[in-house]
Amino acid sequence: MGAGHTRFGALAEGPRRLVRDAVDKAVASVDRGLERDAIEELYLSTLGFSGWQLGNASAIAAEEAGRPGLPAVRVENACASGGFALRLAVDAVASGRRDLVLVVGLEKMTDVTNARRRYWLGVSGDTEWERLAGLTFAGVYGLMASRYEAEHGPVRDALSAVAVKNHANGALNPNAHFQKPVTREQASSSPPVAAPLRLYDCCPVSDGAAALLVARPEVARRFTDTPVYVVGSGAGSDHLAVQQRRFITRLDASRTAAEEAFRNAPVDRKSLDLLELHDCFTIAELLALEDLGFSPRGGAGKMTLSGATRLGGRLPVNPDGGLKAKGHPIGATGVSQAYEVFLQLRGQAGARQVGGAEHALTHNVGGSGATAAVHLFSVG
Amino acid sequence: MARSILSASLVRPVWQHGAFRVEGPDEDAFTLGLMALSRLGRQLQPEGSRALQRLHLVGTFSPEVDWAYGEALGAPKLEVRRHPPNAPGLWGALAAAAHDEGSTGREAVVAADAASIAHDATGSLKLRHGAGAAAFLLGKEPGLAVLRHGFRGHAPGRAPSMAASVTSWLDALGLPPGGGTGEVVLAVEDELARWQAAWEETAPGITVTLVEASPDQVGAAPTLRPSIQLWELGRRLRTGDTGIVGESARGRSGFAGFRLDGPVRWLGSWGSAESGLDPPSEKFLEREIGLSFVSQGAYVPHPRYLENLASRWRLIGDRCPHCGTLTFPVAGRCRSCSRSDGLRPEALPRSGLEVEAITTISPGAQPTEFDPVVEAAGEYDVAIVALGSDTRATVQVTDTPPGRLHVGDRVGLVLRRLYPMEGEWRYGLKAAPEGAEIRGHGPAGKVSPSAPGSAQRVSSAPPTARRAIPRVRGGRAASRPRRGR
Repeated sequence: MGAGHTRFGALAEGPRRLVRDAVDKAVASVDRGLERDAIEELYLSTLGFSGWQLGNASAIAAEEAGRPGLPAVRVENACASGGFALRLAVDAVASGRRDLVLVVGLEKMTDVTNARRRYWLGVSGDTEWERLAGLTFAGVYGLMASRYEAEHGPVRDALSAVAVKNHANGALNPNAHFQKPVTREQASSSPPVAAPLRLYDCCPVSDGAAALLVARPEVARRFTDTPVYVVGSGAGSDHLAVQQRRFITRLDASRTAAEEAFRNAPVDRKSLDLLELHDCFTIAELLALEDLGFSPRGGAGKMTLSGATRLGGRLPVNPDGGLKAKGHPIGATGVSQAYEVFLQLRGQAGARQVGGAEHALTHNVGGSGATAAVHLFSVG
Repeated sequence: MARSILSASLVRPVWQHGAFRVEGPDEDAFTLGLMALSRLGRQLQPEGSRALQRLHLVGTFSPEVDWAYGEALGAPKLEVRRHPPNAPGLWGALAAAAHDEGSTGREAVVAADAASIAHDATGSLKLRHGAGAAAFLLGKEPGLAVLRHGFRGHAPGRAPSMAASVTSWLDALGLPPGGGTGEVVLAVEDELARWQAAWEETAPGITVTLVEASPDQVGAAPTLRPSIQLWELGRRLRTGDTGIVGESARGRSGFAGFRLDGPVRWLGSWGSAESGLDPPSEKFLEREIGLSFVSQGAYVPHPRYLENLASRWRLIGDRCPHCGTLTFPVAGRCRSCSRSDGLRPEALPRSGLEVEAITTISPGAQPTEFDPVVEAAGEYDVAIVALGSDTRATVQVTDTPPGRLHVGDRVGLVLRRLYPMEGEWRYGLKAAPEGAEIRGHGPAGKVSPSAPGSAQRVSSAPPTARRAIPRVRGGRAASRPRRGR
């Protein structure tokens, strides 16, 4: 029934201020106004990047939400924290335990030294086998991309097409970290990071926060005539280390989460108008299209190159710019995806509006696929 | 019970620093010695290295190496003895392994040098000898028998004359001057002609082979050099022959005698100077001396590092007797049927492994604990390799320039340094190109039979290395080849 979002990027604001701004905007977005006293519980999604207030950070979020004393808990599943916080909030109201709860996603990543940042960017992967073989997530996704190429042929053009599309979308999003388009040539000739991945295949390190007000449908309808309904929720996990998984180029956690989300949901894949996919690296968007059942194995590159996933295409993917261009403040990302869907399904997405959008999916992945959450949304 | 040398292996690192070979950022005395030793272990059928009972170490090894060798070889009860890091240390170790009555099983001697760079008295960095390792396996079968070893003193304050050295070596072994048969291999930096003349004058009946072992080829490595001498000697002996390795320095003549009673397997392997790898930077080596740098990376407590080294160092998995599934790494239960009873340890293959995925980590994309490695050697590759059906390992790639390996290539696994933490190096398996072990095979140059009384000059350096080694003087390299991109 309400959603708020700060700018994403390298921001001067600290974490407390980011939480406050996101919650204020979420409260202000409620069509008929909201007294904060009505909020019954708070879920804070954050990795605790750089060690800033690792413990009990939820109490700070309650303070900044203007509701000190509120029952609050921090939810951590690395990059999928936001999706899982939303899932817990949905469970809280769907079970009837609560009428109205608040979800806040937060990460403040740019106020630490480069060395500490690189430390934190790897702590959510497998330490014993992957980290200590010299890998951060760029390396892990680089391995996946190399295997994908070996199985399905050259993928450079498709990867660059993902970057070009998401940067073009980000240029239409005033909250995005990067708001300038890039060309296929720029993306394909950017500096190598973890072969075959290049700089423009990687999402940036961003600060930012987002907030959602989640209520039981009958409660939500008291506050707005156009609530956005969560009509499906699924989650899954997988082995932490890629070497333990069934396939190098598949995220079984995503597949499991999608199966659960679509089970008993009143929507199917064909009825969806847009997807918010977890594109921490460009290869991840291609894998997600396949893992979630929107493309046959090996076909996501062709689908992307055909323009089907662009704004105006058959199935727009990441109209907000995705993690790639909008930015990826780890704990905020899953919440931000739902914020975008909230705008799109209510026709409030401005220049990046997907015309007539009624049904949408969000897909939020932790690390290299150890955890994943998928949600389905409908309006009306 | 006397034992004799059954096989020997010799390895050199692939790195080169100016005129010297040095250990790379992921090699040290432990890893070089282990590589030499592992190859010998293949001779010990059926148990392999596990059959080793006692290990004699000759070189500058860190204290942790005692248990680490046992762990890496899968021989937890391995007894480790240490010997001085010089020629007498090597000879003493060989004699102890050959003649010690306390042992009933197989023994090995490992000599390794890796102290490649150090501060001199003025505080500046100086290269100190090269690096490499030799391992000798001793057992009960006929092989190269270890005879006597020792020293003869000469007039104090004066270097012994060449003739006096020759006389004392022959005397020490009970060989009559000018009579008998035998071979002598000497490592000398220069003055080959004078050594030849001294032998012809003192012992005209003895076949002499002079081996040039100048610092350009072996450095002043105090344990590697006598190892190479012995290697060269043993390879030239015929069954029944007696040979001597000798050292003449600082007022003493040292010697060790050997006799060939049966076949010995010589397993030579030298790194290639043309591998295209950059040597570690002096800055890296300087920092590495004290391991004083503190990682800002993922913290791995020492107990967790030690946990399950069997899987991480020796590729041990668990075979489930109920469903047949292999669980790797070992987890205490079957990953398929979850039963924990009756699991049998099983070693996975370490060679012929297919690369399933590979990436090149550009500088800046590495975890922070790998910063020293990147500083020393720049970008590196990481691969997922198949250990069998549905079993994989994620490993760093070594011994080949980044970007050369591809999906589908075959690799082997070697134990190397991973990263420093808490004042010590942590070790793990890395992938090396298949066949890298025999690249630049050596060390012997072409040898033609020498007539009694004549001297034969033989190079102990691999042909490839000789071409590529620039001559420099002093501690700094005149030029350091950079890898082109």
